[in-house]
Parts: sequence; C-alpha cells; structure tokens
Amino acid sequence: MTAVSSPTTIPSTATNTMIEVSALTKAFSGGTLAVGGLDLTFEAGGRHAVIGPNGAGKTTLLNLISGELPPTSGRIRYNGRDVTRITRATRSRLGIARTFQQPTVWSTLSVADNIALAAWPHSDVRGKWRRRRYRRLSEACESYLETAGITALADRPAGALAHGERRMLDIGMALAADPRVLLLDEPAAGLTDQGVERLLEAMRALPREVTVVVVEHDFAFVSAIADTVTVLQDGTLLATGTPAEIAADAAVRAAYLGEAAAAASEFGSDLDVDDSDFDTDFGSVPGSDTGTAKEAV
Amino acid sequence: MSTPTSSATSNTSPASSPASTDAATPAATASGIPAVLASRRVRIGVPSAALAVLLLIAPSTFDGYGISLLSKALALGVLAVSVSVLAGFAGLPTMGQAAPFLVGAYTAGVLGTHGHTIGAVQLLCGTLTGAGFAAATGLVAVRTRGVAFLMTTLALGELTVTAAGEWRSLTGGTDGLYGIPPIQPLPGLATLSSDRDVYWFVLISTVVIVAIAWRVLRSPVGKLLLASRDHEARLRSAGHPVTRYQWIAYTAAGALAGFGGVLMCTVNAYVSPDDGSFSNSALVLLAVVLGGATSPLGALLGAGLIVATRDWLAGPFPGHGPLLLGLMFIVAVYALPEGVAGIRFRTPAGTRFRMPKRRGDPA
Repeated sequence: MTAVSSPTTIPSTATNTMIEVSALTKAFSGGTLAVGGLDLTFEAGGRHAVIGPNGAGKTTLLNLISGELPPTSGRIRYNGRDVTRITRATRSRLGIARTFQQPTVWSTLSVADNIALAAWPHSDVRGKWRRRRYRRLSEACESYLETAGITALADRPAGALAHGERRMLDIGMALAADPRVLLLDEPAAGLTDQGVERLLEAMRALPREVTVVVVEHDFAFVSAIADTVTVLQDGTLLATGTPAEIAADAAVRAAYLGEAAAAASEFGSDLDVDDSDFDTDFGSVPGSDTGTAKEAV
Repeated sequence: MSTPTSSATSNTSPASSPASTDAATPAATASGIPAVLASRRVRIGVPSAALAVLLLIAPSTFDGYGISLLSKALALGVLAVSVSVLAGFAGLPTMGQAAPFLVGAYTAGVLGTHGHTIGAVQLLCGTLTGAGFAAATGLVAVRTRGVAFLMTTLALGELTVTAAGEWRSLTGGTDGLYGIPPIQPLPGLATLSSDRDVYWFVLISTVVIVAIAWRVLRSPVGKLLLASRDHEARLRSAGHPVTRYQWIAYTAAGALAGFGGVLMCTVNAYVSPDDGSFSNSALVLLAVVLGGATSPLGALLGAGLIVATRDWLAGPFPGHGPLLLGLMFIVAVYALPEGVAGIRFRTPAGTRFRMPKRRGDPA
C-alpha cells in the first residue's frame, strides 16, 4: 500500500495543540479502568492514529473526547478551551465530529436525509425546518454523498444499507458536520478493498487544517494515512512516534504486535484485534474480529 | 354543507393517493395475492374513502346517539393523534396524555360557564392551556426514557385527575362541571343547538387540526423527530439539541390534546375528572397501536374503532365492552403488527421507503 508523503515535513500549523487531555481517567462501574491518567496532545492539522491491543482504551478515549462518556477525572481541552463539562451536542457544534465503531444512522430516514440532518446544526441556512430551506440544505450536502460514494443510494432508507455502505454513510455524516476535528473509530473495519480505497481518497481530500484522530487496527491503513501514531496499552500511553518509528519500537512490538505478528515480517491487514468485550456500547464489527492477533496480545 | 366535504376529502386523500400508483401491481404479483385486493388503492384508498363517506353522511343517517358517539370518537381521535406524535414520531410512548386533554376540557367548561361561548375562543384557550400544562410537566417528563417515561407520564396524569377532583371552586370537584351552555362556533354564527350541529363543528375542527399536524409531521420537523426516535444518541452527537426537540414535541402534543379536550367538552356539555382518567390515556395509546404509530390518520381510525367497539358494538352485550376491546387488541397486534395504516404488501427488499415502522418491531 502506498504511504502518504513522509511525516517528517510537519506543517507550520502543527505547533498548535488542537486536543489536549491531561490526567484523563475513565473507570467503568464494574471496576474496569479503561483509561488511566492519560496525558496526550493531538496537534492541529495532524493525521493521528491511535492503536493498541484489545481493551487498551482507544474507543473510550474517542468517547471521552467527543463527549459520549463523562470522564471519571482529568481534563480535556479543545482548541485551548476546557470542554470537559460540555455536552456532546455542544462539542459537535464547536467542530468535533465522529464516526462510530458500529456505524450508527437513522434507519427510517433516507440516506440523503441522514446527511442533511447531520449537516443541520452546522449550516448557516436559517429556518431549516421549512421545506424549501431544508431542500436547499439537502442540495448543499450532495457533495458529501459523492465523497462517500453513496450518491446512487441517496433515496434508500438508511436501514436497508449493507454494512459497508452504512459505514460510508456514517463517515459522510461526520464530514457533513464540517469538522475541525474528525474522530474516526475503526473506519476501515468491514469495508471492501474498494471501500478502503474510497476512504483513503476521502481522507486525503480533507482540508489540511482538519485534525484527524483515527482508531484503527490495520497497521497498513494506519501507515498510509497517519503522520503520528499513538500506542495505548491498558489505558496508558505506551509510545508515540511516526509509523516507521512505531513499527521499529521494541516495546510496541512486544506489547501489541506480538512476536508472532513480528515474525510474519510485514504488517498486513490481518493485524485485527477483537475489541468487542470492551466496547460493549457498540458491539463488535463484523469483519474486524478475525482475531489472528488476539493470542499474540 | 360544502366546507366539510372538501376539507375532509383533502385530508384523507394524501394517505392513499401518492403511493397508490407506483408499487401496486408488482407487489401484488410478487406476493401471489389477487391484484385487486393487494393494490394500495384498494387496501388504503377504499377504507379512507369509506371513512370520509361515513363521516359525511352520518348526520343524515344516524340517530342522535350515533352522531354524538361519532363526535366523541373524533375528539378522542385528536387525542390519539397527539399520542401518535409522541409515541410514533418522537419515540416517547406516553401514558398520561389524558392530562392535557382534561386541562383543555376544563378550560372550555370554565369559559363556557362564565359566559364565553365562542367555540373558536374556547379552542384557542384550550389549546394554549394544554400546551402550557405540557410545557411545565414536560420539563420533568422528557428527562426520562422508556419505562421511567411511562411511569412519569402516568403519575403526572393521575396527579392531574386528583388535582381536578380537589380544586372544587374551579372544577366542581368529582361531581364534575355541568350546565355548560352550547357554543357558537364563531361570533355571529348560530348557537349549536343539536347533536348534528355539534358534530359538524367537531368534524371541521378535527379535520383542520389533523391537517395541520399532518403537514408539520411531513415537514423536516417530522424527520428530526423520527431521527431522535431511531437513534437519539447519534442525533446528539451530530450537534442537535435533542432534549429541546422532545420538549417542543411534548408541548405540541399537549396543545393537540387540549384541543381534543375542548371538543370533548363541547360534545358532552359536561367535564369531570373521569375524562382525564388512566383508561382514556390507555385507550388512545391502544388506538395508536391499532392505527399504526406514525400515521395520524391511522390514529383517528383507531380511536373510531375503539369507540365503536366499546359503545356501539358492545350494545347487545351490556357490560362486556372491555372484553371486546381486549379481543380486538389481541387480534390487532397479531394480524396488523404495523397497525391499520401498515396494511400493505411486501415489495422487493429495499425498493421503496416504508415510513411507518414502529420501534421494537423485529427487523
């Protein structure tokens, strides 16, 4: 797979911190410590990947940043502003958009309506509850359908979509929110090769100032898009670096990639880890739990 | 009476006409059922047309009792539409919608006994008090979900009934408010002196309010409500103030219920705490289940079926109305899982958008 340009050329905006979490902790009621005292920064305009073994706290980290979950303790700053106590709807309006591990759409509404409703709170059109204004909003959203490659499905009810189509719709909905920070939770899971290509294309087409944080198991995908990789283990930071550095890091190889996977030399796409026992909210994604690396963890 | 004719038909036709042309024939051949029966024109259009005809010829064929039953069914139908807004669209199945209904009925009763007998004024005031009541109680109710929402609305309903029974100076207590004078629909029009006149007033009012509700629900507002029913968390994540939407829907449903309450007061010329009883709330929820949760017209039809079963069909079997209702409910749930409005035949998967799908249906 062709990698994106060398990560050593860091854009000038990268000095600004877009997302900063400090001493972030999330303990679930069962006593599981999903995220334990995490300190992390995601720089503006960066393409960040978060990887880690099963139960490392990757999805929880996204849920904390997007406001899906309240943290047990710690702070989250977004663009210099403390958003720890701000609701997810407000964070979304501030520019944090996300997709879900299990793509979530409004199943009785059409694909076009899904995109339009996702764009609704972020559009300047006034009086969108009126039919004509809504139609104008809907027309303005056609480009997102195109980017996600689902223009042909525009009039289908979202509930009738196949899994891969639904994932592209989920991604289209996140793009329609005109985000400054885009959080992607395993966007490539369950996609066909064509789907992955389209996803890569869509991500390359993103404006450079958009900050992307992607949780992904597929290291080939990660090295194709990311300029920094963060490795989590048991809710704490294990390593940060460029994809090449991470691939060479001995600690990461031991903890995450495993001797078996390392022995398999190249980081192939079968480096998938089952995350389902941990992310009970969204269940496991079909196709993501081939689980070859599970024993290696 | 030309006005109700035109407005009634214009209300019923949107249900049947848009889809009747496209999917009818292929669907019929695919499912192997005689094409005549399977076409949507027959399955939806004929009952709708029959209902319209029934509503229009009723005054000249029914006796006074039948006519006032029909008026009551329409008033309950408006209440059922308000439940359909909440249960079917916003995904908030309520057990206490008879409370704003009661508030609206008392508003009309109190206005009437104090000499304000203009129907339009009573309707406006009843709608506003129903909305105000729902706006206040909704602050509590929309913060809960599922069973907690059922219980909260049930409790609010029972509290309202109790309050109505205790506040004797205003409501006449448990004896009810009687001696409510007949109304004039508008200033300058004749007083409604017969059951027939009341029926026309109720029919026209119902058609107008249901048409308004229909139009709003078919607009992007309805899409927002359906989205919050489908996946509330996703709507929040997309940046929508969902709680505010739900509160507005709850308030609007309260306004509709208040409107229905005024109509009920007009029909009965009597209001008592019984009008807000749990059985009314439960019956209209039943009507919505019968009618199909996301169809205002189905809700009206469901209310009509319930009143017909309870008060008219049960005539020969005194005291067995509830039994008949129970039987009808069981049959309906098994035979029409999507309600009366959901009667249609399978189309090839995914070819056509099916709007009315109740939450909790097996996929």
